[in-house]
Amino acid sequence: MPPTKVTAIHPCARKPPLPRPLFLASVPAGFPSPAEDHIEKPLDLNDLLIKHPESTFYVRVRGESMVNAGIHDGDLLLVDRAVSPISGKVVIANLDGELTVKRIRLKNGQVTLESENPAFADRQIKKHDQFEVWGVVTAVVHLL
Amino acid sequence: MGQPLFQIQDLVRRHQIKVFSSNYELYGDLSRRVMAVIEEYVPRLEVYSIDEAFVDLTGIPLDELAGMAAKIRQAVKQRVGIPVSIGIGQTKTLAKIGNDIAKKRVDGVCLLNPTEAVEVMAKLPVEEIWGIGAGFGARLARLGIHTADDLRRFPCEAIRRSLGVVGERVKQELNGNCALVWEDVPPPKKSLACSNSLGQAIVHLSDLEDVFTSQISRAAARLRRHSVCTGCLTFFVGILQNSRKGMVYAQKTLFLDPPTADTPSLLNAVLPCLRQLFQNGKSAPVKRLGIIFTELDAANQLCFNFDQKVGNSANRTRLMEAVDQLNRKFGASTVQFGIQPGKSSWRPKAAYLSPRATTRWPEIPVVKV
Repeated sequence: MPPTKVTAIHPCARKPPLPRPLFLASVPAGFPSPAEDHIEKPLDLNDLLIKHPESTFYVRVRGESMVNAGIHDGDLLLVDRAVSPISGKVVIANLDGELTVKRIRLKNGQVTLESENPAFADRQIKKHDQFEVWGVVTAVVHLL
Repeated sequence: MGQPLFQIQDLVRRHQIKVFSSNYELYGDLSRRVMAVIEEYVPRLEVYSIDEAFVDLTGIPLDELAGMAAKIRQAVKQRVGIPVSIGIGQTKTLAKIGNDIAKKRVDGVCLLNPTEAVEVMAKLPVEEIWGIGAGFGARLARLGIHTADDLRRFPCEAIRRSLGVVGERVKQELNGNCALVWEDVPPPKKSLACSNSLGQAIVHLSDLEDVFTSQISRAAARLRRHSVCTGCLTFFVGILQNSRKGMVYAQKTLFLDPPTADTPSLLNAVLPCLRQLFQNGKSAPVKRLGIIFTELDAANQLCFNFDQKVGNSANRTRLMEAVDQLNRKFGASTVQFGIQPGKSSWRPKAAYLSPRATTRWPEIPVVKV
């Protein structure tokens, strides 16, 4: 069998590059919806109720001493530790080892825990009391 | 290091010791909050474990560091209620040394400048350095290296010969040269393991199958969560021969073709092998058992040969997604594979679990009003 011979060598024809556009988005056909530019995510209670997720905790309430503040037995409270417990705020307080909900009042250097129910007395904090504010109540959830 | 509770019940009664079971759900949630607070104050945060993180303070003026640390500490204590201690150094390894000192300080902060770092290292036993341990420590002792400062000054070559590149990195770090990578994105996992030590040894094959089924289900769920498949599964059992001989281990490795994260496929691979290893439905007393997945590959990047079986069917993938969704929504054991319900004598007792007050509505604190 005769050996294969190379008969000719041609240079590779250098063709100019021909870029093609790449469509990264699909092109929908049909009439565009007028709502398209206004699409927002649905209303979320978290956005409304929780300003600081990492310092927000939940607590269930038992009792009647804060009804006039809108806090009823069985309600859910949102407690935010990042909010400053200034006079007039409703707070979760640790009093003598027990957690309670009261409105804190600071007047003339005296701290008082006020109830919001005439049937319950206010509590003045004395020097020997074991007292600490745990967090500020920022919202009440009352299911009907 | 620890003692089983039942051995100290008398002490508990006498001193009214409060006992708590580990509550990883609660710890995990609190950890997430702590890290979220820290992240607000620093340029770069790397979460290292459930209760540790590294923070990159490059670019912050030196005289502002102590103040910043105090602010972070105050913010975490105020907003989450968790005390943290902060160690600051030129490298991660030095920062960790600083942290050990900070833990014992009232103000909870320790800033190690290079001079102070050397003074501390001169008194620090070498095996207490992060990355060195008792094993490396023994090797280093033979070279005359006993303190962290000894290691810091020892020639690189000699360290590399004795401890490899790991040891050399530690020396660099001790000298204030960062040699460890910052992991903004955690590196892909190379293996995934799940193991249990049992309080009560298992002797029945069915119990053994239950435990392995539970481990494989949990580990496979983790694989799916990280979007990886496994190509190799090793399972092992530790058998207590007698109290003198200690634990004897038996293991078996299976290759999975194609790589998978499908729980039923993994169970079908392992359980028949178990039955082979333990005849007559009985086994020698098993005190420890576990599984290790290796050859992990991203689920969407698997390479197949032309004659290789193609991976899990779409139906099967959808099945596992449904199972994972149900377990995420209703609790981790909502849907289980073939485990006998109620027979959980091997599970750790959570008899003293504190409330999962931040992740379960029925367990939030009740406050008297």
